[in-house]
Amino acid sequence: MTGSQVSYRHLFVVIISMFCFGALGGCAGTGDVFRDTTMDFGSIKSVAVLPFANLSKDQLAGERVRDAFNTMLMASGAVYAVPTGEVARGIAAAGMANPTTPSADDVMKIAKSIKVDAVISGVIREYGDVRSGTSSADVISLSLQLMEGQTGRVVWSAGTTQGGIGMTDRLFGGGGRPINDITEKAVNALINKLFE
Amino acid sequence: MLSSTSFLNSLLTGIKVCSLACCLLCCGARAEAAQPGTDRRIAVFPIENLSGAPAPLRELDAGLVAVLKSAGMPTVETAAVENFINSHQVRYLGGIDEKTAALLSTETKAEFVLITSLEFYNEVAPPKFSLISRLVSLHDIPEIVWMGSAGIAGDDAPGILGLGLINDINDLREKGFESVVTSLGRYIQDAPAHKNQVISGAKGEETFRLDDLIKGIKSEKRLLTPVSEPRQGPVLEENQYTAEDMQSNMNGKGIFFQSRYNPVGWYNSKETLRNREHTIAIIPFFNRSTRKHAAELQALHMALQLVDKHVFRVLELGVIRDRMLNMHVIMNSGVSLPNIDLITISLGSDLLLNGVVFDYLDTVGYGSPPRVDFSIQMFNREDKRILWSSHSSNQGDDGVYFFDYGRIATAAALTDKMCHALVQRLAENAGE
Repeated sequence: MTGSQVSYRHLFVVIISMFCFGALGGCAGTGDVFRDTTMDFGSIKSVAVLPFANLSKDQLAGERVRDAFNTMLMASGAVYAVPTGEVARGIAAAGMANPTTPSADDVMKIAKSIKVDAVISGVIREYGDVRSGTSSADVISLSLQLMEGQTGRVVWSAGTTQGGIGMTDRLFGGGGRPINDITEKAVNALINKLFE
Repeated sequence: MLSSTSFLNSLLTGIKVCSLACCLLCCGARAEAAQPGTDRRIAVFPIENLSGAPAPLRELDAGLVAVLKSAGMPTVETAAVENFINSHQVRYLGGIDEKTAALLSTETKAEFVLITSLEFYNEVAPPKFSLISRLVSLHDIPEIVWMGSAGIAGDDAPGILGLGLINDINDLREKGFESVVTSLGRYIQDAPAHKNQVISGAKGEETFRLDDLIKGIKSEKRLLTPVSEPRQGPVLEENQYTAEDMQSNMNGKGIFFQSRYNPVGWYNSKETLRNREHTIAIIPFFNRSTRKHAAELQALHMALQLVDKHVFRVLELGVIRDRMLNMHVIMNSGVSLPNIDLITISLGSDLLLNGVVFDYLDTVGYGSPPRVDFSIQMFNREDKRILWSSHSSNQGDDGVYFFDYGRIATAAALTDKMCHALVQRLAENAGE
């Protein structure tokens, strides 16, 4: 066995190790989830989903995503989301000036008014198509907060971004996946983060 | 002797003639009983335009009435209906409330009213034509008994070398009317019974007759088997895949044939509605789309599938509208619990259906495919909780890969398929 053969073998091992570390690094959590360790999430049976703050250019993005989130959350079977009309009644009863960004007092008031265990608020940071050079694709970026109804404190918070222009879109063109598909994917990702 | 024989002969002949006449009369009575709806008069309301664009409504009205008459439907004269509308100043023709229904029934002797809404009318090649009709009974609280729709485009079936293309809108609307009237004719000839007997689990509501006992005895093989022979139970082959299994799979219960028009996601409270037949009130949907009247159209298509399924009794939309206007129920962002109480108690309905329409896009010419996106929620009157919640979203070219085969050209046809898949799921929840 010559010295050059040994050095090639070492180099090969180093490359494989680097590849494995890189792959494992991709499996790591994104770190965009906050969870209050003292909170008993099993005690939450009903939630009120407040209107989402919409920072995108699509005026209906908030309502679309909220509707999809409501259905998916209930479909998980873990919690019951009260009807949106009942939430609107609670907002009016609590006298909330800006329901998209509730204070702790607002949360306590609305939770008491419509008899829910927790309140969810959210922000849609991006919704719609993005362009990069000649490529375009739909993207959604949103973050949610879960607040306990009795104290009004934030017990869970998470965000996700789905869609956008990928490598294949850049190389071969195409418009990415439809906005409804990526909305569903984003909502499911957040619900998984809530129940994991 | 001769005279007595001739007398007997004439007496026998007389008895034969009488019995033949009686038989013929009985046959006639049975033939009438087999066609219960043929003598019931139908008042035809003028077509309501929900297309959001101008359309030749007078021509369409005349066309519909002509097709109805040619099919032998017992319609009330158009002039009598117009006189009624004018004399009572009926402004809303997209539905009928209780008071107007009672007056219409009294004055025109009609038992039903046919309410038709024009959904889409476009002459640009390929022409497109969609309409939806419903037959409403005028007794007591008006109730939808039949619904039918037609959503057709000139290029639905182009065939080889485009020989199947329809370029004339008149041909297309004739086809649409005939499709709807044929379906109505089938209903009138043989009105299907509501499935309340099937889904009813309450034994007190069922009537057990002598015929049922005889039928039961005849079908019970163990009673017919001689005592000397050993009695055997039914033999079931293991892993037998029956036609019922296949049907249930095709209905979406299994994994083999999932409809591409199923909702994207749905919540099912798992509460079965087997105890009795339920009355459902469809309250106006919320329209968040760019299409005018999308909410009304979506509600009509949901009603169509619910009526077609015969699982629920669907209240006439005009009655619900009238009650909500009278009670000043205003909903800006969904149904609240007091609203559920108010509406269900005043209408006497068990269930409440509400929804939001986000997209309802029809396209002109050979443009992009139609797109429909909506969500619905069904509420229970007893505990005011959500029984069903789902979100559906589809395009006309979903699942289409080769040569536009299977492409849907109109939003009406697309939403019909989506609502059909949805109601199928809903009926499974109802315990059908």
